[in-house]
Amino acid sequence: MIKIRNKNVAVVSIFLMMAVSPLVCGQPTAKTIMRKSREVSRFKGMESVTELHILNNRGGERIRKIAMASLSQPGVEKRIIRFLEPADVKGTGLLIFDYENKNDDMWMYLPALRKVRRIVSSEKGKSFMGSEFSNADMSAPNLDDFTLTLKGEQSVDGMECFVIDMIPVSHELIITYGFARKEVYIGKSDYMLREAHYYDKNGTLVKVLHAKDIQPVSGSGGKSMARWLSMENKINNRTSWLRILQVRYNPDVNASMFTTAYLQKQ
Amino acid sequence: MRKPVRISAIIVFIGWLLTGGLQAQGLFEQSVSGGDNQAWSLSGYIRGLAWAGKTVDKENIEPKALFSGGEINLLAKSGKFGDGKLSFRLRDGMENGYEPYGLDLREAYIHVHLGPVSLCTGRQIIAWGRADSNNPTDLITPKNPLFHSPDPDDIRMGNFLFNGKINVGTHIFFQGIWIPVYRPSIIPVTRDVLPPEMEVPAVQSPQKTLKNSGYAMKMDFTYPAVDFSLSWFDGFDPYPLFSFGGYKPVDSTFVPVIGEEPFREKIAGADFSTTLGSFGVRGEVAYRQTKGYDHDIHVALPDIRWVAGLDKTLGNLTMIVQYSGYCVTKFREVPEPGSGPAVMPDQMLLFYNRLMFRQTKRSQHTLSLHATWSPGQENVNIEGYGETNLTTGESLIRAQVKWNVSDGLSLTGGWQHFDGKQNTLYDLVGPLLNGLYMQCKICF
Repeated sequence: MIKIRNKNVAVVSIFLMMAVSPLVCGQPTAKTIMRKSREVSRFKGMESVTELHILNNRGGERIRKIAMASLSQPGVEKRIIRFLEPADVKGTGLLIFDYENKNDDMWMYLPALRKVRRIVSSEKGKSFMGSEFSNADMSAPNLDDFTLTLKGEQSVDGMECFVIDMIPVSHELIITYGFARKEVYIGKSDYMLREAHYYDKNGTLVKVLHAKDIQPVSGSGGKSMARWLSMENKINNRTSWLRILQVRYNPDVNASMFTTAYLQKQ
Repeated sequence: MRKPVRISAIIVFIGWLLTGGLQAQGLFEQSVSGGDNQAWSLSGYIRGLAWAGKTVDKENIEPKALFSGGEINLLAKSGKFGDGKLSFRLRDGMENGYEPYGLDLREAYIHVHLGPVSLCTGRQIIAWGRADSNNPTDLITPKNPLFHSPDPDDIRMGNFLFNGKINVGTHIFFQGIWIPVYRPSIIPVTRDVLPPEMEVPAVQSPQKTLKNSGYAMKMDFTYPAVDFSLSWFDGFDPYPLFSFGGYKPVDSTFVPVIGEEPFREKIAGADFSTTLGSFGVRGEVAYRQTKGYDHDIHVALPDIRWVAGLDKTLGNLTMIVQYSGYCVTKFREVPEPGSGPAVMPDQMLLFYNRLMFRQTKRSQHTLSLHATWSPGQENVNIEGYGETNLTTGESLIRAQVKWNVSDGLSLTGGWQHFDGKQNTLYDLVGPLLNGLYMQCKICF
C-alpha cells in the first residue's frame, strides 16, 4: 500500500515538475537558443551578391565582390561562393558542404591552377580572403564542438539579447576555430545574432563582430538576415566589413550549381 | 513500330538536354556571367619581366629573359546555352637569346551547354591531376617549360580539341576528348646545349589523319569522403623525342641532323584527394605503355609514375609534402655519353631522350616541400619550393615574394636554382632557368 502511495507521489511529482519547469527555469537553454538561431538564419535556398571591404590600420581599403548561393537539404547546407571582383581574384570559387554533425567538405577553384582542390575544413580559423573574418564566420558552427553556457541577458543597440558563452571542447578545436572563447549576443525576440566577442587563451579580447541592418528577406516566410556585418580586430586595429547588395530567397535554386564541375565553369 | 519508338526516344533525349538550359538564370548565375544583358566581357593583364642568371658557360651573369607584354581574354556568351573564349598573349623582348614570338593564341573555343551535357570545340588548355604541380596524368595539352614566368599557368599551351562532358547526377562526370591535331611541347633543352655543328630542324608533326589523332577520357567522382578519377589516354606524348636524321653535306663537311619526332603511347591513370583529420591527402598514378620502344631505341620505355602528398594548413601557412617516383618497367641501361668528339650523335641523343623522360635509372624517388605563407591581409605572399631527387642527386630550390601593391597590381621577385651532376636533366636546364627574376603585373 505504501509502495503504491509512494509511486503515486512520484508520478505526481514528475508531472508537477514538468508543468512547473518552464516557470521555474523561465528561459530556454543555451543550446536551444543556438539551435533556434541557426534555424532562423537558414534558408531553403538563397542567392546574394556581397561586397567585402578589407581595411588596414593605415586607412587603406580593398574591396572584393562576391556572389553566393546556398541550398539547404536534410543534414547539409550547400554553399557556392564566386569572386566577381577585383580582376586578380575574379573566378576564384569555393564550394562548401556544411554538415550538421560532421566536418564540412570544402573545395576551392583557383583559375591560375585551372583545377578544383579539396581543402581541409578544419582550417576554419584561417582568414577569409585576407579579411578579419575567418572561414568559420562564413558558416554556422557545429554546436557539438562547443560547451555552451547561457550567461545572462544584455541589451545591444536597444535589443534585449541572450548572452551565450561558446568554449571549444578540445585544444584541437581551439586551433581549428582560432579562438578559445566566444561570447555571442542573440536577440531575444528574433534569435538573430547581433554581436560576438572572440577571446584568446589568455582571455584577451581579439575580435568583435557586429551584425546590423537586419531586414526580412522577401518571400522567405518571415525569415530575416543581417545586411551589414563588421569584424573589428582589437589587436592589429584592422577592420573588415561586408554589405549584402542583393539578396533573393530562392527555394528552387539550381541544385546542379553545387558541384565541383560547376565550380570550374567560367 | 520500332521507328516511332526511336523518334520518341530522340525527342525525349533532346527535351532532357534542353530543359536543363531553359531554367531561368538565378541571381548567382546572372552575377557570375555578368548579367543577362552583357554579351561579352574583357579581362587580362599587362606585365614586364626581367630574368637574369649564369649562362651556359656558367661564368657570366646575363639576362635570360627581358620582355613586356600582356594577355587579353575576351569572354562572349549567348544566353545560357553557349559561351566562348578568345585568349591571346603578346610579347616583345628576348628569351633564351631569341626574340619571343609576338602573338600567341592560347585559347579560342566555343562551349555549348545542353543541360547536363557540354561540348567545347577549339583551342583549349586542359589540366588534369590532383597532385601538386607534378601530374603524371596531365598529358592532354602541351607545355613550354622554358617560359620564364613566376606564374605556373604561363607554361601551359593550348591545342585544338573536341572536349565533351556529361554530368551524371551531382557526383559523377564523364569527360571525353578527341585531339585531332598534334601540337608538341617545347623540349626543355635548347640549341645552346647541343654541339654547335648539329642542325635541328622543326618538329616533324605526324600527318593530320584520323589514325594519328589522340583520344582521352576520364570518369570523375566527387563524394563527401573522397574525390577520385580514372583516366585513359591514347595518343602522342606532348613531348617529342630527339631522333638522329643522318648527315647533311654542308660546304665540304657532313653535319649531323637532329630531328624531333613524336611517339604514341597509351596511359591509364588514376588520382584521388581526401582528408585525414587536419591533413589533406592526395595521390596520382599513371602507367604508360609506349608504342615502338622495342624497335626504336629512342622511344620512351613503358613506365609507372606516381605522386603521393600530404598538405597541412596552420593559420596563414600552407605546406605540401610530396613523394614522387618513376619505375621503368622495361628498363634498358644507356651508357652516359663521353665528352670527346668521337661520341656518336645517335648515342648522345638516346641519352638526352632518357634524361627528358626520367629513364636513366630503373627507378627514381623524389621528395619535395612546397610552403606558402600569406601573413596579415594577404597583401604579401611568400612561397618556397624545394625538391631533391634521392636517386640522381638533382635538386631544385625556388623562393618567391609577391607583393599585392593594390587590387590588381602586383610585384613579384624570386630566385630559382636547378642543380645536378653532369649528365643529369637539371644540369642541362639549369643554365636556361636558373637566376633571379622580377615581374610587375597589372590585371584588369
